[in-house]
Amino acid sequence: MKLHYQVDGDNFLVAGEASASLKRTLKQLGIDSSIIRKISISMYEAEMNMVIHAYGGVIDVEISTDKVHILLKDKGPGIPDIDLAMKEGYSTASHEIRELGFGAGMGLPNMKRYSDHLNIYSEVGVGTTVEIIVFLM
Amino acid sequence: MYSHSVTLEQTKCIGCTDCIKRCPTEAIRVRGSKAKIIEDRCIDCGNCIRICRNGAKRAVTDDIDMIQKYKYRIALPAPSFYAQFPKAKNIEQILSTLYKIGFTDILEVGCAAEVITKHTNEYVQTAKNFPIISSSCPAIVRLIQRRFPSLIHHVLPIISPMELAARYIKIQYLEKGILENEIGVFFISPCPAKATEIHRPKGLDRSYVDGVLSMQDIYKMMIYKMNTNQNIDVKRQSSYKGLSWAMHNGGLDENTIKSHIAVDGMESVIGILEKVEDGTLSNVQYIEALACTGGCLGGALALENPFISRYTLKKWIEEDLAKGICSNEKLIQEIASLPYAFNKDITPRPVFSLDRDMQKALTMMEDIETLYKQLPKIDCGSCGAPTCRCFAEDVVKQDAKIEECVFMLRKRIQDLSEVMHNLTQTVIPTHNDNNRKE
Ligand SMILES: Nc1ncnc2c1ncn2[C@@H]1O[C@H](COP(=O)(O)OP(=O)(O)O)[C@@H](O)[C@H]1O
Ligand code: SF4
Ligand code: SF4
Ligand SMILES: [Mg+2]
Repeated sequence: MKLHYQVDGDNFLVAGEASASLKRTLKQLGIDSSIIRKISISMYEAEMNMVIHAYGGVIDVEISTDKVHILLKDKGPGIPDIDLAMKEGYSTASHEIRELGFGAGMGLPNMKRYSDHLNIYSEVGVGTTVEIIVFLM
Repeated sequence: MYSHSVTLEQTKCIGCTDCIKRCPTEAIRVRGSKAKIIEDRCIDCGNCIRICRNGAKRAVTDDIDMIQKYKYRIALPAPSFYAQFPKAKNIEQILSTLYKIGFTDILEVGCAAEVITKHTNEYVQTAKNFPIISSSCPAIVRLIQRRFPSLIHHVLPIISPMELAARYIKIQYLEKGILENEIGVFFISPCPAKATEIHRPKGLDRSYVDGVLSMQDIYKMMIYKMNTNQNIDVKRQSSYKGLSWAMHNGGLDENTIKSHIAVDGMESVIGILEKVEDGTLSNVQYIEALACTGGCLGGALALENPFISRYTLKKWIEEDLAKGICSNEKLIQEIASLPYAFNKDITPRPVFSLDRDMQKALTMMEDIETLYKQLPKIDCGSCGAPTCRCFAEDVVKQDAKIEECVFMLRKRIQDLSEVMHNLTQTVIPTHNDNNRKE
């Protein structure tokens, strides 16, 4: 089945709704809780990045019996150096955002750790597409 | 089989739907103008008891007459119970009144709480799965089993102060050679969740508690006997440390476990557990989570306002500190020598899962999404389900009919009347309406 979410970029204090809604759906599908956890953590971090770094975007999720495929697309500033962005602790978040408890630079490393496949396509000035796959078996 | 302490009194329920939205596990539906609790889902949190203005939701606890079955009748009062008597001179007066209403012995749960706090400290120092989530509130453990099964491994595998207190006192009596069926151990409970807990314990094969009595029932019996002059001499067993257990931080020793969150009230707890699930709180060591606002002082069976209760307890803690009388080290040591760990795993109860077969669940989920899009999404509750979303699920699970939604019913009538109108336009061969006009 397919799910589509619109993510607003202006208010990151209430962000995370798409992840919460997907989590609920996955629980109803009876997916193993440790796998749901992997998906939730990856999706939440990716959603937050979209809100904090890229003025929101759209998320498309496809769930089948063997995997969950998540595609997050934004028209934000893009990531100039993906390898660098993947480093633990690397963050370009502003001081204000850090004050609010975000910007620890652990989002991308955790997405890598908890997903089975993580692909990032990004072009500076155009936007970023993040693809996450988690297998269910 | 005994499974729940929260029940509905049919005759009092008017089907108003007030309760359905406040249930954290969407366990209530209104059917035929009566609320119905879906047993698998209910966690005995007591929210619906508090919200019902008709007193139709009740906590079933054991009957006080039950204590008469036993020769030795031991009361286990918790600090939250003391707080119900803000006008009492001191805790001794409350304890002595417990003897007057028929108990033969008392063990203050507060002293077991002191011991559990120590065990918790030690456990947190050596644990790996952070954050650890407290297990002393049974409603929260039940919530985790149902709504947050991925967090089961975070639950502190240590029994509650109530259970440890019961274990200690019962063993004391057994060691004196007294027969087990002569010993009755009774917890005086602030909530229905604790009542369910002794019949269906979590993490344990069986409970040492023989009965759970409602704080309200005991209060009513005691209030007339409080001020009689023949006060029975009692010795305090719990120090101020045990009393502070009820002051919302529960088993938390704030000096030892620096990185902690103490959260109370169902909605706030759910918010925190969502965050733990999303991995954003893994830097926190310990979470003390209590279902009721104000912790056990705000239990559904408490009589006093929880904020006044906190004030009362604080006063007594300060008095205890000033008096410095309670030297309970020996008792604490004895209690600390008992086993305190869970001996059974807590199992997930994924009550929200649509079907075991994922293919089937996926098909159902698609149907739910399609139906949900047609619903007005105003969560009016007239259908008897807490939300439009939940109603869509009920329809797809065939627990409800689509016409039970007033909006869908209206649309259906509209469609039907359109069909009927169209039928009236059918030309009848032997009859010409236009001719008639002439
Ligand atoms: N969708 C995105 N658009 C633009 N930049 C991004 C996006 N996602 C991540 N980044 C960049 O990668 C960095 C590291 O991301 P992450 O590991 O999630 O840490 P954090 O979000 O805490 O800064 C971010 O600080 C940001 O510079
Ligand atoms: S006690 Fe709590 S979980 Fe049970 S039906 Fe009432 S509100 Fe729902
Ligand atoms: S917080 Fe205390 S009173 Fe409330 S349900 Fe939990 S154990 Fe019972
Ligand atoms: Mg991030």
